[in-house]
Amino acid sequence: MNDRAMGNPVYLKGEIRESTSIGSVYHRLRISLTQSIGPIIPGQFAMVSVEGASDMLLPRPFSIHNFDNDGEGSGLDFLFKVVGKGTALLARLTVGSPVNILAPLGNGFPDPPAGYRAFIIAGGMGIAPLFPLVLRLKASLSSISVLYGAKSQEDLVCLPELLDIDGITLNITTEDGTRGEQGLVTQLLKQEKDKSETETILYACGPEPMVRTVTDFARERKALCWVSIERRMACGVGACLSCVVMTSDGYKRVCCEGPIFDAEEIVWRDDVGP
Amino acid sequence: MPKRLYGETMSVLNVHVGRLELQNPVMPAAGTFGYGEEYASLIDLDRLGAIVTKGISLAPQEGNPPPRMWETCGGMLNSIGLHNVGLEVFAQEKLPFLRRFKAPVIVNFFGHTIDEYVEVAEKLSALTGVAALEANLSCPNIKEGGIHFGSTYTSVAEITNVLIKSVKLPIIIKLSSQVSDIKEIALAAEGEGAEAITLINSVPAMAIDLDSRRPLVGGVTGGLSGPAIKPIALKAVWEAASAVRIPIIGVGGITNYRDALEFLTVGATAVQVGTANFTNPRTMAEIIEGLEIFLHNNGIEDLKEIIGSLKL
Repeated sequence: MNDRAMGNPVYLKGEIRESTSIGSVYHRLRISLTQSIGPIIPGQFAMVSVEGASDMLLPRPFSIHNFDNDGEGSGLDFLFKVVGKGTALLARLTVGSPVNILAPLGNGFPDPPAGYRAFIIAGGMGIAPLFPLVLRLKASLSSISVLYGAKSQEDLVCLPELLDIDGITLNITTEDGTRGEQGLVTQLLKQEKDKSETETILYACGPEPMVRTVTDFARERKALCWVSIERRMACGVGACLSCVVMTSDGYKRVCCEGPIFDAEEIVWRDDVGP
Repeated sequence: MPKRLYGETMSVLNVHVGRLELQNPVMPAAGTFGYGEEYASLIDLDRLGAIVTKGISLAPQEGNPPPRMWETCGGMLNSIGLHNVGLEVFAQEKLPFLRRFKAPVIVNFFGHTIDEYVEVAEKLSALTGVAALEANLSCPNIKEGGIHFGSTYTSVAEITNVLIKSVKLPIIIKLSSQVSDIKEIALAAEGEGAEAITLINSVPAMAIDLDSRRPLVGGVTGGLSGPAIKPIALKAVWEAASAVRIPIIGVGGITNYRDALEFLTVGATAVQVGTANFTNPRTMAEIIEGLEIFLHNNGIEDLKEIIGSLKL
């Protein structure tokens, strides 16, 4: 299957330990599990379901934003935007509410080769799987640039956490110019174009047009580039074939062969996306 | 009273679907359980009454462009497009894994012409470890202008007839509820020797995004499954069960043991679980446990007492 997938997923009952609204449309849930799971690699995800919820028949896939494991149990953090009935229901759940978790799922971001400098490019909620990657890479890399863009200042939901991390370069864009440089996050990448002499690795997650621009940049630059692809899913384990993405090797399942793909592999289509 | 309430095999739950003896009546619906291996770490495959594979075609099939799925009110609209690895890869890479389990393997299959149905059935029946074949007739017949094989008495009779003549394995005919008279269609399958009937397939349906005025699945229309279709499925099973003597495998929106019992009550001999596997991968195990406890608590010695027990 996949050399970066870690073991088998488990299906566990958990409960909401913390539920925090961030602004009007974002939400953070911390879910505690009475059993330890893991290890979890940044980029992997979980399916979250609520028993008997008629507004949310299927589980929802979320990147694991933060994770801790104390030997007796695990804590999983999810950071998401409320976009539909399922996320609205999850955001309404109170502390102590039961939820079911299927995790860890999918592959994670591969580590960079020694001596590389990393660019981490996040658009909007794309920061969710990239934040734990920043923490992981910080331990081994000397040069990490985080390029973080969103529509407006209030959409930079992970900014306080990123500002707390020492030793990384953080560049911000907003489309309305309320924070950082005005424009799209990918324009920062273009500014970096000719500065570097060391080998570069790119990690990207965000809206598909953004990911595509990053992919094009990586191709032009012949840089390694890993992208996280988002798809609607039903099972999360490779059975239903709902979440496929077109690759140079035909359709692949985002839940199993992804969600992290070598950007080179993805075949973009103008009409429907990959 | 059952003697071993949580024992490995519960004789009180066993049922016969034609020549197949199942330790319990619970199995996955084709297409919702992959090739079994995807769920093997999440549910004990040996607890299942049978394992039903994803639909297999002669050649690999790429399926529909994404997006392939949209959740509707109480249901799931899918437009997977019968994406599958094809018969050769199934035989070489998927079936060997399934042979490790004692649960009988029912291979769901389809074709684009009657000749292709026969060819797939013949090749599947030559493989070790296949207990029965489930023919998905909800496929467009390309020689008949795309009308579904399962939509008329004549075509159901014809396809069942040639399949029965071609292979010795039990043939289960999977039908759609979207016909004018399900009794007539069920009689066509029975009359030509089908060993059982599976009812129903997902219901043709559509969802659109008003803002973009685009369909929400890549195939434009799709198949609806989940609790939303349970009442449709119950009626179809009840009508078919009143017309034929062969066993019916009921499927459509079954989420818990009580849903399963409802299907048995209207005349199903076994049940398939589909969308609910996605919500909770242990659903089928929980249904089996629920049935055992229900029988025990109600002093029912044999599950078969419930089959067709609807009071009118």
